[in-house]
Amino acid sequence: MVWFFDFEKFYVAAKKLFFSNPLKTRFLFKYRNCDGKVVLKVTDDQVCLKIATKYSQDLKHIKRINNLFIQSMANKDLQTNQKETSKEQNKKKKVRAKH
Amino acid sequence: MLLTNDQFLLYLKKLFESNQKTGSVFVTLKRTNGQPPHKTNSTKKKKQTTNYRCLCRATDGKKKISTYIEHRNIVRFQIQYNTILQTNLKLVKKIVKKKKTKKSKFPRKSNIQKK
Repeated sequence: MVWFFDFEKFYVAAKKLFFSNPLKTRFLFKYRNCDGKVVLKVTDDQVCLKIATKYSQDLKHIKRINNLFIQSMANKDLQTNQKETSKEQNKKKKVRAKH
Repeated sequence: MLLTNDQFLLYLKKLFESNQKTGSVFVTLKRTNGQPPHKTNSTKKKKQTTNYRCLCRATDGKKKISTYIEHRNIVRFQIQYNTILQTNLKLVKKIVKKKKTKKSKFPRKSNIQKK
């Protein structure tokens, strides 16, 4: 069980794990209202990646990871999806470099 | 219980609402082939038609609901799912403490009165 504290690193690792074994990896989302805590877990029954948060600022990261998995899992061609997600990251890098 | 996308999202809302005071809500996403994970004699004989779908399951420890997300329903499901998360996840705001600026020992030129 590997705990992450940075959403960017978690996103990269989760994407890598999914594309290495797409049929076996699953993404789990747990929410407890009484504790106000969200836990995300990505595993392929051998490697397990986890991240937890209780801050509303991280909601956009949670949505981004959710969207990644819904799109990748329902998609027929995984290779095109992999390229698309890498294009998004390159765009973001360019935008950041300008600023 | 296997449901359609719209029914699943309705029940998911109810799950969140009923587990506000105690309990937790689990949502799992997994890619499926439509075939069992282990090879059996029946799968070897039949021609394997790959129909990839996303299996979405939700539970609160007691009730279980599930649905299949297909390629054509991705965007619609995503939008509705994100709105449900937005309304039901009540998270705390992170308080960023401002660093206190230290007062300098040496007074500024403007403060010094000319004798």
